[in-house]
Amino acid sequence: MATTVSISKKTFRTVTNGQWSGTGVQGYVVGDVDKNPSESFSISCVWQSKIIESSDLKEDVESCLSHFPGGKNVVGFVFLPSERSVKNLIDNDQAGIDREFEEAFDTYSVWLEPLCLAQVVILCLFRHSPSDREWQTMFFVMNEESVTKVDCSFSEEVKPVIKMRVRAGIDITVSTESNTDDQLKSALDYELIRLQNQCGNFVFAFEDNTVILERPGSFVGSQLGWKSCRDIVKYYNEKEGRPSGTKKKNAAQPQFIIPVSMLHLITIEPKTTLQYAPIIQHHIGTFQSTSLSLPIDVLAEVSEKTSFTELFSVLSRAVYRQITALFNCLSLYTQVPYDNECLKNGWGEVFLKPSEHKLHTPEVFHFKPHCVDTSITLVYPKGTTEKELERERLILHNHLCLPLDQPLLRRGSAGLFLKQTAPGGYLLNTHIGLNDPPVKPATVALVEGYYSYHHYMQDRFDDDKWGCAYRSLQTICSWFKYQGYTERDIPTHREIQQALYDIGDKEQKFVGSRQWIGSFEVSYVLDHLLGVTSKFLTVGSGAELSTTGQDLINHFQTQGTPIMIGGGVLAHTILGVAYSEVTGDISFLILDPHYTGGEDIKIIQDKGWCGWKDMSFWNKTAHYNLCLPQKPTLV
Amino acid sequence: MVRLTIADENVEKYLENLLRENKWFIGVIIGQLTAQRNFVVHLTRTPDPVEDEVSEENGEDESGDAATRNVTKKPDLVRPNSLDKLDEKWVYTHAKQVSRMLPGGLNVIGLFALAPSLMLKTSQSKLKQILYSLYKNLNKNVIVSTETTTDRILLQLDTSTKKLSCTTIDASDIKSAPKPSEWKYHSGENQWVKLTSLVNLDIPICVSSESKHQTLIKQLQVGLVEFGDSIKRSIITFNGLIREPSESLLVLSDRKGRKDIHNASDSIITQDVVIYLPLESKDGLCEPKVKTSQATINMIGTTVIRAFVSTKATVRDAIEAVKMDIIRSLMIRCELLCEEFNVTEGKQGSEVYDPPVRLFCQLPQCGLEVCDYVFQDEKQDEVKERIKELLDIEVEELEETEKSAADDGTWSCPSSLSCMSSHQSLAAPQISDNRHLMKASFWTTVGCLIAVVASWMSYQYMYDE
Repeated sequence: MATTVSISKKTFRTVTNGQWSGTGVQGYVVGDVDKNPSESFSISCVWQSKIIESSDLKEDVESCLSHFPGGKNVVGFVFLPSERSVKNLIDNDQAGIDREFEEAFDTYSVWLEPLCLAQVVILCLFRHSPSDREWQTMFFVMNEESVTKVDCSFSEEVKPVIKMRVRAGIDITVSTESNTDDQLKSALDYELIRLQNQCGNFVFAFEDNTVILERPGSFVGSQLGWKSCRDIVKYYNEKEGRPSGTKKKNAAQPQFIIPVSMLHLITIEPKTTLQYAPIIQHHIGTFQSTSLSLPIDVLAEVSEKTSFTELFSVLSRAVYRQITALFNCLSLYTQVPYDNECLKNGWGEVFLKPSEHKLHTPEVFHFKPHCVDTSITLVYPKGTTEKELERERLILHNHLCLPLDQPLLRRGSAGLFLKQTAPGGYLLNTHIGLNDPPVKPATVALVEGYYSYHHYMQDRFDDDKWGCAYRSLQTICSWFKYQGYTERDIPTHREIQQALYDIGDKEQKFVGSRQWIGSFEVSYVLDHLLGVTSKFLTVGSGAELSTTGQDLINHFQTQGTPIMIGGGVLAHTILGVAYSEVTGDISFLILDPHYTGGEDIKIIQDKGWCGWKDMSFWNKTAHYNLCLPQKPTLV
Repeated sequence: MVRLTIADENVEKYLENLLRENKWFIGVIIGQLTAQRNFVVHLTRTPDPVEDEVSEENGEDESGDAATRNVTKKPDLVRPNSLDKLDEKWVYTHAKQVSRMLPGGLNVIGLFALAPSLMLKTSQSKLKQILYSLYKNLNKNVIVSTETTTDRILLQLDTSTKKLSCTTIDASDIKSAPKPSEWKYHSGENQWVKLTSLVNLDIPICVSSESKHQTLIKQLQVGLVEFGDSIKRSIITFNGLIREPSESLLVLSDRKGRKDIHNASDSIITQDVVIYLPLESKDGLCEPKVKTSQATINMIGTTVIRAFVSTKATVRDAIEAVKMDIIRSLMIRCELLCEEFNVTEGKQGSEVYDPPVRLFCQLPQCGLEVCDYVFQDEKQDEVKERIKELLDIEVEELEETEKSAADDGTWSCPSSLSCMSSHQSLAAPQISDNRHLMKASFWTTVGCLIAVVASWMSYQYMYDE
């Protein structure tokens, strides 16, 4: 059977909207390859990489893959043909195509071997003219001998995968005699090699360390009788009380991630190699010793067909890569000299002189940008500001072809896709799992990214009957926080009032009062606390809201922020709109801050505290102001 | 309820032999104390005090601790004519040495005395005093305790009446009253399970500048606490199974087919033990901790682990025995090394020390083994002689289980130093410019850097300067 290639529409869009330049091999195609029944590639992401030499391939691939969940592989290359051969591509001139590929790749096998694949995908990007904004694509499959054009299908369907998350801590100590950068780096290098050598003895444990997966793919101590990855899924499904085998999951519930811990196997097989009794190395001198715990946090995705040997290898390689990435981070950020501000923040210990180098604990973050089909794992140094990391984020956005006008890899937005609740217990994205809007056919546009649901009576604070606009504002602030625009915590009622007093909008007695606020106050606070400006829509009566359809569609498509709407005595949050240009029918996705109950997603959705509302929801005679927060342009 | 103490039938023969000598004797009891009963596997009389130079060669120096060393340097050189006159340090020194010869699971669990009625009577408080002192001193440098009971056995044989009395005393409580224990001999089928493992260690230690411990042994003792902790939290499998601690170690099928084998040493049930250290993820990230160190130490290498538990033992007993062996064996190596060498302190520079290696030999008949730690220059006959003196057994065969790194010229062999630590890097900052290069040349570089210049035991680092 023929080899197939598939990609999702959003990933395709991300790739073709990316900034590409030059010719030749310009990046990696990251995805999965399924060998049964016929070879099929599915592309989940691309990784732009400027200098790809076939000789450095292995190391470059490893560093690329450290950003992706274990189990993902580099399955091909992104190739930009020379301008003169674009015509050959379009005309499907096989001889011309061959010539182009031979020139660019020389020997095909040197590109295949480092990936351990017999054939790889070549994603060919070209433009008819340099002024074109979007890139055209063509897909090829390359094996040792030849390059063949293949069709690519768009599939949105995500194959069922088993998700695992390995978490562990590895204590390391780095000692240097004099605290120079060189010494510190070389000490780090040696510690890294030491860990890499031990890596094969890091084994994986499930269920409170009662089941251990060892290198040959055998489970030790298993009372559970796991024979395949399918058994593992079944076990956890039963344990979690989920019906097994049912394809249709509750969409509001994120997929269960199997927790995995890591153990260090210190027993060795007798007689495998020369073994010597312990020796003691004793170094006397004055050393500066830095000890820290490396936080291993690896996501891995495997299919039900994965054998245990493969599973071990997937986890092990992912951990190996992450250890390398953690050390890269340690090494990269030793040079940050601490200025007075750092000392003030308490990052520097008292006995360190400002001229010395210090290490930052590397911290692992998982992201799920909306424009790619995979999670992204990044390591950032703890104790640095978002501003300090801006350069690094820019580089990463470029690698991943992410848009450069919105933050997708800031720490504030990390890890939310793994959770159902935000810090503090607030529910996240309560609209997920709702039925489709009643308007058909319609253009639907929704809030983009994560927000948390804020409503009456939360935080042990009684704001029943007066705090709805405050709560709506909190939901908007949560969006800016969870998109990484701000590190500021979601403001309390009092902080909101204080902000309004500070800008001179309200008098002192307002702070601590139970007075309402409206759409304009909401925009003042957003501006003052977050530096976010807002646009306004004003309608003279509720009935006129039916005319806002196109404006709201535009807002959600370009901004994607939650909207606060105030009218009469009520404030609501609008999370989306469904609008039919043909019939003029409109439906609003409303998040209602007047809810006084507990954080129960079922009640909230069933009783309509979060749900689609038609025109009858609004007060026909009241005057309405809509505050549309505009997202700042930054990375 | 009277606690049962089960003694191996060899113990009976040993006591009969001592009886025939018509002298008083004191000695230590080797065995295992479990929650259910006490097992006595071997008795060994404390050897008579000997000439000073001989005693030194036998390592009678009890620890690196200078304060106690002075006292023991001057033991009573003559055997006192009565039990109550004896110096408790004399017994303690013996007990300390015996405890270093035991695999996991076995301990010095008490004291025995053989004397005429009258002498025994007048020595009661002395014996108790020695027992307390043994308990206190033997546990002094234990970095991680795995003990389940603080009881100790006092066995007395009246040479006039041939009457045997066995009592247990809570040695942690000076006021506790002796409790009688039922003494029974065991014969017939083997009653021990042997647990074996081979463990690869790589323990980095930083000695804080604030630490007042200047001696290497103290630095090691403090430094190994953390490792001991992780051993305590480790996960241990038996024959590839993770077991419930409360289960009995042997299952029915293990016992089957073993009843008819009579030669105990051949038939001992052996279980392979695998040890996993936890790599727990910490809650919340910590800032790196920076401190100044006066020294860094690495302990690297492979040790043979052996432990013995009774066939009635629970999984918990077996786990404790294995953990005990790992930690104890490591500490003993350090102690012996530091006792043997005058480690020069306060000097700059790096040295590699080669602690003694472990070997095993059989305790007659019961299937159990004892061990010894041997320096490079020691000959087999010397070892056998030492075992004869301290354990009072004739040994024919020594099982050499470990290889000394110094034994071999191949210092650069990756496996010998397979887990080089960061501290190594201090010696070679100049090779780190290019990581690819370093990876390839790492082992050979280390090999070149290490040159054996010191005498038979210690190795001086040559810096590439």
